[in-house]
Amino acid sequence: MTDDALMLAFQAGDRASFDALFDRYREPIWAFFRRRTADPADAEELTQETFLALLQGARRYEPRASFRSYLFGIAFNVLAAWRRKSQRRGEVSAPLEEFASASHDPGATIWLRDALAALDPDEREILILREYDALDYAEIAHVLRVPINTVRSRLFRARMALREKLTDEPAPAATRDDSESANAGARASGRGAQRAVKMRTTS
Amino acid sequence: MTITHEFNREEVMAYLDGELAPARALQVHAHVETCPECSALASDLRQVSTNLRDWTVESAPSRLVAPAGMPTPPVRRWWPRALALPIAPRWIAIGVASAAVLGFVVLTQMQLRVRPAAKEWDLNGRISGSADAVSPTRALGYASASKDGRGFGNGTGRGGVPTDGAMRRDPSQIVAMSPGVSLDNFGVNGTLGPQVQQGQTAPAAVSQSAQMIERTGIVNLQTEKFDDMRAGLERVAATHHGSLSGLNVQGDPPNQRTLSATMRVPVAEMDAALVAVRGLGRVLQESQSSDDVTDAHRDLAIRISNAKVEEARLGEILKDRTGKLSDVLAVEQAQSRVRTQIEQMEAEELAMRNRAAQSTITISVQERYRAELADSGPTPVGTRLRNALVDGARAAIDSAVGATLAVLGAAPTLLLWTIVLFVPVRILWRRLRRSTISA
Repeated sequence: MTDDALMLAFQAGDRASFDALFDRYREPIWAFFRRRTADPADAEELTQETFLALLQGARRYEPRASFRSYLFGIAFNVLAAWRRKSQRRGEVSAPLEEFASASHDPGATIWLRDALAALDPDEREILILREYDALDYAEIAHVLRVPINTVRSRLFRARMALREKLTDEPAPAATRDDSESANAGARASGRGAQRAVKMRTTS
Repeated sequence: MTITHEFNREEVMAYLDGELAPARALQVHAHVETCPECSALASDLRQVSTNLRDWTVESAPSRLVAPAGMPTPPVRRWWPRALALPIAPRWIAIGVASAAVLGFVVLTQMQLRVRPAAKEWDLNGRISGSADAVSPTRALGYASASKDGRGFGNGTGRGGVPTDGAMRRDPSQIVAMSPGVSLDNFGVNGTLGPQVQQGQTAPAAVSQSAQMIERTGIVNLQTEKFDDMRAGLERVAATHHGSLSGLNVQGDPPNQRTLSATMRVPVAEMDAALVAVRGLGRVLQESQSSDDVTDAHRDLAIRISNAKVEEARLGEILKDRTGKLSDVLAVEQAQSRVRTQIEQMEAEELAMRNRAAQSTITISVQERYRAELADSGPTPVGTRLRNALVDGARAAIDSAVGATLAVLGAAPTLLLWTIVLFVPVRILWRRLRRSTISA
């Protein structure tokens, strides 16, 4: 069944439909929050809060846009409220401070963290929604409440900025874990070869 | 060599993301295959996406389970469902609604400024109306003449006339009426009784008990015998020792004709005259009113008397002709001014007495309309149609101009309050939205 059909079935009283939706989106929503919070406990709480909001607002649900954009829209609003609350408590974190702790391979992704941190916040958010949360342009526009053309232009600028970083970054440092050193070397050599590619020249 | 790009770089990116329509995607694909520049761009973009996949996160913990429960009833909206608009149009709708409410309040306040009606006698002789009639004294401008008590010392009776019979005036009153005259030069002592007794003409005395009432009446009639109306009114006026003035007839047969006239009859004859006028046709409306001008007349008489006393005093001063030439000229000017005032007041007093003696009946008569199919009269049908069209167009233009003026008149106020209320309404709306979402 499609997401909309499951949601409408849950509206009609079918609890199993909600469980199916939960199973389908548990990981994506978790990953959405995990990439944006430093503490996994916060990500877990926000994920729970998102599905609770989905459950409690089910009667108001109308299949106007895709369910995916609806659910990620709720998640985005939950995240925004959490950030505002954190700011009021004085808990201000630097952009992507939480980034390093989220990855399995910190050594390999330090350059990526720095590159993403250097992006404009709006461009970074669109890039993450596209590359990691796999939302399409229309869904991103719905979640962020911006026009589709704005999504496209900001995403292009973000990718171009990362492309520049990609050609300028040195090879990452070797990891402490010996079991991963080979993988790290392979990745480093691969990236080194890629960085050897010259940028095209305009004719 | 220059390659013409039919597509911009963002479109290449959109093609890679699968965001283009199939037909367009095919075109971009064909171009990318043949264009080195776009091909390199596509390769770079793919590489960026590949590198971004290095950032992974752990799986969700197993304790993360679906919340229990079933859908809760929807929050009752306080706004109609039709207003469930996206954010920007919703704000516009709220702004327009706020402006409309403010406009209604402003226009209502403007309409409520109604002048109070004058007191009137109804047909049963009771006073009607919700506001006091304008005081004749105030209407004549003599409100403070006798009520401020200045210059009359002790023992003054009604209207300020001293009970001992002597006319006393505060010397400062003489100065106020005769600017330029200095009391110090002429030794005015403030007691002027002897001057009055030496033959100054007093105005017409008004008995303390006699009342002066100005009576007026309005009668609107309708009649079929319109041609006989003028003769009938003249007959009524003559019978009751009165006269007709201001007779005016309007309209051409077979159109409805109207007649307006003013009849003056002695006060004692007014009731009988009204009965006779009522008998000339069918009464559509009738009203009567009366103004008590006794106090006003008494005040006026006293002012005339005082002015004459002053005039006499100034005359006495001039007879002596002591003092500087400039002072003498000042006294002459003052005397001339006082004489002018006396003449004006005497004219007013006479008119007041005449009005009290003669009542005024305003009569309007309208002919009972009788439609005629034949001969529409001197105005042809075509002309009447054209006139109607022109009148209609003029009315439409007037109404449009009126509406525009009303909008322009209220626009600054509406704009001001829209600006003032915009921020607090928006804050309130955001809080409401947040509470709705978190619910």
